[in-house]
Amino acid sequence: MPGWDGLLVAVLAAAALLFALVAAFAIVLVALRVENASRARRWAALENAWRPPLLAVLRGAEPPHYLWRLVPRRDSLFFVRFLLRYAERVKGAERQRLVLLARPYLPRIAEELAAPQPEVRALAVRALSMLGLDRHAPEVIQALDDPAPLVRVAAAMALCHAGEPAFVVEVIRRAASFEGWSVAFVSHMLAAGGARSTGDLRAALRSPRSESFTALVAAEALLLLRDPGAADVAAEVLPDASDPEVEAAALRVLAEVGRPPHLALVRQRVAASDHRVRAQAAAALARLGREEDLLRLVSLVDDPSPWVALHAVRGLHRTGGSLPLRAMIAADHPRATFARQVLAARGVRPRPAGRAIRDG
Amino acid sequence: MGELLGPLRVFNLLIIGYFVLLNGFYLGTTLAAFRGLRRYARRARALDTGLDVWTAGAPPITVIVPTYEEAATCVAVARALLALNYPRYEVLLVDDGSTDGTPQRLIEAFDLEPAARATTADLPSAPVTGVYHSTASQRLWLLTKENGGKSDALNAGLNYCQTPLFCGIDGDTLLERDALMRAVRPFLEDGSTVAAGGVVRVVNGCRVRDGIVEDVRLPRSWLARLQVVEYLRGFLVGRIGWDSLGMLLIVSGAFGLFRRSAVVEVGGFATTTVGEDMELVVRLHRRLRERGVLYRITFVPDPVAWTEVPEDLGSLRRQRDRWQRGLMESLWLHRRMFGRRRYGSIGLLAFPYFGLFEMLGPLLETLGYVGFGIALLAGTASTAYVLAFLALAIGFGTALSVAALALEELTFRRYGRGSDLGRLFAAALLENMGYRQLVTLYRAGGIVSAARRVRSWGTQRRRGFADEHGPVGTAGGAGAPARPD
Repeated sequence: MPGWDGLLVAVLAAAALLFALVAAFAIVLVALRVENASRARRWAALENAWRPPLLAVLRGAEPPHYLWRLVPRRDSLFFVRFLLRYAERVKGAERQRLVLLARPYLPRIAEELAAPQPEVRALAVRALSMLGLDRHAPEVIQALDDPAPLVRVAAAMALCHAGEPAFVVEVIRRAASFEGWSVAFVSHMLAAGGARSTGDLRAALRSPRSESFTALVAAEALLLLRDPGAADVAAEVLPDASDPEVEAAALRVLAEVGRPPHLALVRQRVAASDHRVRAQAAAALARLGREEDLLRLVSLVDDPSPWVALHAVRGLHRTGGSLPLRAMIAADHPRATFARQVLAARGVRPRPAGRAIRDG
Repeated sequence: MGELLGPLRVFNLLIIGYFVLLNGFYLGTTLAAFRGLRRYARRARALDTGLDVWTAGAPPITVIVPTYEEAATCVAVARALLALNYPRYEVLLVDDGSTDGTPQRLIEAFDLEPAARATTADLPSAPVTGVYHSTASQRLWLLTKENGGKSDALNAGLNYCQTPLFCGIDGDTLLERDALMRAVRPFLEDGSTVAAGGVVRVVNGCRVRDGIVEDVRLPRSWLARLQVVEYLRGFLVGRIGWDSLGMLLIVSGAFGLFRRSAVVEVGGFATTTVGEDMELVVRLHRRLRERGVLYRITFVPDPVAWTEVPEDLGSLRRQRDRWQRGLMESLWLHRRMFGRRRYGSIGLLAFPYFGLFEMLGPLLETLGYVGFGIALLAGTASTAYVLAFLALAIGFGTALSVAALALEELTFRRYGRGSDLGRLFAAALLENMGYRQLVTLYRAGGIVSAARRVRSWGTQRRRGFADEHGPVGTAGGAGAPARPD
């Protein structure tokens, strides 16, 4: 059957091509491994040669040239990565000497900011910010506008951890470009800038031009910094907040640092349609509420959302002590388990104990 | 006989065509995996600021561990889980009605006392008979319940989960200390992430101390060594490759990190299938796409969990039979996704691939070997046909296994000894000369079992892995070991 044989030959050719491709791929990988192993051995030898002189320079016992003379030109990038590992561990005068050691190599690193791969650019940003932010701050700030999210985050992390308000405000201005990253991650990054940035964070939360994500991370960062001034800004933002997450974040701020004048705003949100808002309203009410707010908290215990109920139970304990929770347990309330959990967490043993407790 | 030769030739040609397509897919995923791993390694170097800085703001996690008849291992496993390196997490053991004293061992070892814990969901599960909290370690909780199976136990645990993320692992899985720190990164980088899987590796032969793998060694048995190669291919190539293409259909039940609210919204783990891990991920894809929700399911090659693989053929057969049934049940339950544009690349590409090559493939391959044998015996096999069949059925697979090894060497290099590397290479060569064909046969048996609606999990005879504090491992146990593909 000549037709079949022809078809078979064609299929065989395809099979041979596939086989050749995979075999070539496997060979390439093995060759890469061999090359990597050789490079790793070389780098290990270089690091062993550099380490003692580096420590001597950092101690101030030797000048930088004592180490520079041991760095081959072609290994300058590797040398900077070597120094980077120490940049995270040293402080004070040692840090300054380390920065001095890296200085002649940083222009070469700055050229990497134009590399096509985002990972290379991100590494360059990290190196410049840790070893030469005093001279290369403009390049690092410019990296905040890089098209690749990885590079932007590398720049933002570096600038925030530097702790200078002038740097942190650049990150805050571009906070919306980090939307998509987790709110907790971005807010922790902003909070790393420290208490000196609270003014800029408050401005970002307050500004009507701020996008929801910016307001959200600003609120969370202020919460992490426990900024007392954030309470008034949160109170300003609450009435007009259209995003439930921003509303909830503002309420969290009030729950942490709010004051009695903010109570009316909190009470209004106890009946919000979004369970996240109700939950945070319960938490804020727990801190700011008065005796008459106990009934509001009691009503929230029966909320369909278990998260709202848990916050309300915690709130009841905070405002009314153990009594309301013991009453729930004694009455075998449907959410009595929540009461037992809260009491146990606070080291109060509800009666009776000593047997397995069924799901309530 | 003459009348049969024509159809036989057609059939053999179709089988050759099947192998060409299958290997084309494998090559595609291998290349995608290579690209994905290189990017991941470069990315890790670029942001190598220390895990604690990177994971600032990492959300709390509940590690949910279904246990059943794990009296010999449960204390060691729990102890190891309590030593993980992660800022805020809890360990929630869910004992699924053990009769060997598993809960009692835990209660004694960790001073567990009856406690209250609020539920946050009401997924159906067998009744919970007890809730315990450790007075020795605040992180540790124990639920006891009536027997209902692994999925049922996971759902019971989910009902008590109070953190935004949960990590589902098997009762005999060992997590590396930084596993959670690494697995959580996709959730920080992308708020739409709902699930992330990690690598599962073979613990047989490794030296384990206090539940931590201290020295990575190859197993002594060749059966287990062949599975090492298989797991490397399945995880390093398969999962990373499919993840790079945005079409990951499975997060291993041995180690997966999930967003609690997403899993609860789609109804938790299915109790009607033995492949609950794959079925959940397929269901997440389906429901979230139907709702038009932006989401991401991904794979992280860094965080590692260790699990024991079967070292006898009986256990291996039962395991692969169950995996095949789980795969088929998962695809069948969501068959409406097949070929439908509404489900994007999942429906248009992943489903057809898994349906044709993973679901029916073992049957086609088995028949292909039979056809090859008949053609040889009948003397009708042309040289071209024999060469094509051998190249595709054996040669290509060998090259892919070697490629998987090379990828491992390029990236993680867990097997540092030259002798182990040599043995792995030998295993990669041998894998396609009998082992793969045997596994194909077992999987074909799984197709038959699925058609007969077999539901059992079967048991795996465990040798246990050596722990310097005593043997850790037990016979029996019905946790679901990892499935590499």
